[in-house]
Amino acid sequence: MSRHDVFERLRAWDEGGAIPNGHTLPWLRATAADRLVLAFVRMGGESSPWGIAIGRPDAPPEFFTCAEPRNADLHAAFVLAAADALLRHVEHPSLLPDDERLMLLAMEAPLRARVRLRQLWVPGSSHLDMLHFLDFRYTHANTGEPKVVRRLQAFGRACGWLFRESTRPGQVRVFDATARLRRAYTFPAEPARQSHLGYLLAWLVPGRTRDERLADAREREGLPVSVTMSPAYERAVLEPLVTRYNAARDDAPAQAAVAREIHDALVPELRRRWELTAQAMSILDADTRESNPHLDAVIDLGSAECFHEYWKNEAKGLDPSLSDEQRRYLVHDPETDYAPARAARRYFAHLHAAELAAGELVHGDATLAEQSLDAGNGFRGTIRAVEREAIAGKKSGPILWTIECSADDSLRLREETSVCLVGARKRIGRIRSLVTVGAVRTVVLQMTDGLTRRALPDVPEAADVAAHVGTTVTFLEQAAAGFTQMKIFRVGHTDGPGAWLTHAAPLPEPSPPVRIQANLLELVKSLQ
Amino acid sequence: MRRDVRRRLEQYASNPRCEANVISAVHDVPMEAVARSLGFEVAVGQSPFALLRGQQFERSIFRDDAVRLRRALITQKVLPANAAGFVDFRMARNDGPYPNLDASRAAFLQRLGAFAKTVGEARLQLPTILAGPTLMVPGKAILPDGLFAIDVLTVHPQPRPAPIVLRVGEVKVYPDRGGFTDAAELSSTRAQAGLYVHALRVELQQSKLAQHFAVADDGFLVLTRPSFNLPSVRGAEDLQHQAERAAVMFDRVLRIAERTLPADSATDDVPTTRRQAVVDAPKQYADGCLAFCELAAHCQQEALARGLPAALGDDLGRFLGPITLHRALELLHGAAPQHDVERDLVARIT
Repeated sequence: MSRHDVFERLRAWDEGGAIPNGHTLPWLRATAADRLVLAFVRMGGESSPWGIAIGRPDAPPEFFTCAEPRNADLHAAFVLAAADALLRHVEHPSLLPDDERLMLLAMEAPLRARVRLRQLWVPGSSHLDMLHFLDFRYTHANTGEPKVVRRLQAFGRACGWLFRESTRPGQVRVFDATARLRRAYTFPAEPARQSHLGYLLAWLVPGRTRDERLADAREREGLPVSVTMSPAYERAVLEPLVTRYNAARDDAPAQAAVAREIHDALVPELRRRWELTAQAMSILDADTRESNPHLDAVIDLGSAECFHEYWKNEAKGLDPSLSDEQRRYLVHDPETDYAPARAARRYFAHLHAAELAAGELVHGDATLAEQSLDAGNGFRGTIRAVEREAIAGKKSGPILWTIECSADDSLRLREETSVCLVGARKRIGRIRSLVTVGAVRTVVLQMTDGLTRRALPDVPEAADVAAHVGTTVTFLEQAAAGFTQMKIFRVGHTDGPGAWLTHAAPLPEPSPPVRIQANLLELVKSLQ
Repeated sequence: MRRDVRRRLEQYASNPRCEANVISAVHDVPMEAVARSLGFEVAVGQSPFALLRGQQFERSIFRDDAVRLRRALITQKVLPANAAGFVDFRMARNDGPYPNLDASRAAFLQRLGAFAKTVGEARLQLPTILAGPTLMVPGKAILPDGLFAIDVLTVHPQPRPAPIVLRVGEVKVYPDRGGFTDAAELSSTRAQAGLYVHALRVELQQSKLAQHFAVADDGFLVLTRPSFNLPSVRGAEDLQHQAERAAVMFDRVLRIAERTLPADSATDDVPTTRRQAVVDAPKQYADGCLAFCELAAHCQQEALARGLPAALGDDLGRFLGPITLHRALELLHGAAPQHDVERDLVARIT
């Protein structure tokens, strides 16, 4: 939490409600067709869902529940019923005709365009965790009808990829509604309280006083929105039902009737979570701020990640000519990267994503630029001189800008750092010298890129003395995202720097091939 | 009064700066009773399903001479591959043989005494897993006495004259998701395990067994594998600093325990005078209170009314220091600062 955030919280308290954070929103508004809202509830102590609410935001959600989530067969059947909506959302290749799938696999761009703006919205972080649990539970499912098992595995992998994607910095595919509200607004409440979606929404109700919003927020806080339900509700309503359900195991009609009662008891809990998420989405959509105009690169990276980290392998896995052994290497294990190089690769991919998002979005949002300046990642000052350096034997030397700034401002940049001009980001300079005398810090920049009108039609040429001298400019460190991107590929080399670390240890044995058996008894027999 | 003080120690550790919380934990005045006496609605209790799952998990790892747990401990190199032997000190309600904590503690100390006397091959073949041994809280800091059972100990015998190493383990039912495991849960579990390391060392000293045993600075956590009822062991957890923190905590508890409160009631009800001691004690609201204290909402309202900046977060409390929220807003709206602290704040917010 930065000083800026803390001060903004004080301001929000003064205003009596949530206040906007930044001048833009760092994601695009997608259409309802590109959006899916998903909410879970779980049985206390369990790490798998008991119920799922899923659906597009412009239609009522579908509710799926399982009478006894500790029963593996029942749970698999319930998850299977809910799987299609999620698999359709991620354009799972098994749902496409063969020719279309092969075309998309060969061409990449059409698939990327199709999934570019797809968004999955969940109420909060515990619901994202549930995606990870489903990955653990179903990615390596191995008992049951082969077709069913394959669908369950695909569902597990889709959940796993969406969970991993949710952890990639700057991503705009998986939306934790609570976190997005916190990103968009500053709330006048302690951070620990800000993990409750209902609590946050109460602060956004217009036309109320601070006391009214606070009272409403406290009341809403009493209703759980995480995947865990109130223990009192479980004790009073659900536990007796589950007990009755298990007691009626020899009476199928009676058991089905209790299962319906359990479903009816879970639906209101699921509906509340789903509707709160849809409400948060509507509030963010209705916000008067524009989306950040520099989102394209971030979204493009997201669609590339979708194709290369998820869809491509899913499509390849459907190739009937592949053996189980070959198919196994296409699956991302929920527990491990297996190889240090692969882990390092993902580390650099995340670093690249963070640098790209920070480097791009800062040019589209004045607040982000100010925060970056506060953090010492750039400087603001007045241009005192624009000149060409005289170099013996050369007709014209490099263009130098001399900029005077306040020495009180924090600055963590050093000589040789590349910086770009806020408002004309293609204009890039390299810090030649930094000299501080008294209260003045003088920065000499050697301008390296974006010097002419051809490069920047709307901006005077870099060498135009009259146009620049006396003007105030802001420079920020140029994002070095491309450099990290190179490392993503280089880390896989067996002979480059760092190979002693990533390739020294022998790779662990992969897990045995997935056995698909029609039922558990046959599987056990096959193991004997 | 609850004699199993583990939960009270956890409560104490959650906010040792709040005097009301400390008195509640040390003198066993449940916050729930205090909150009810003040007219607040209190949602208490755990999920019945979660309780059952926790019990089933613990039973499953200790079943059949702790075969599941031993396998996981060997895989994670907490125990050597040839480790064997299991001694159960749990109480009957947890599937163990002992009727209460006193009997469990007596048996544990007796067994330690026997371990200390072993020599040669017998020493190297001591049982390696001890389930649910009971300890006395050092110095009887938690009145009237303090007994609690730790989850599991592993025994690592060495030839004489080297001491037998004991290693503390803590069992939790939340899932181990590698790097995605809940950091707050892990932190709290390590704190608890560190507390046991300290308590075990003191217990060994008090029982004059310290020269025969060494309590390892590191311990292990036993969590669950996601979606499976199998243990996932995290070995080599450094508990040294947690144990030191526990020592400081015990020292403070000891001093607080010296304050007298009216004697405990024979009934389950908490006498009014004891509740009042908690109600009257100074409170220090902090972010963490939300997670454990039934008075948290009340304390936050009080803190807001008094303009205490911590009511809007610990970080805002640090940012404003001694300046109240009301005064900070006045300064924000242009009031002239009256002293250096206010001048400093104005410089930071303008």
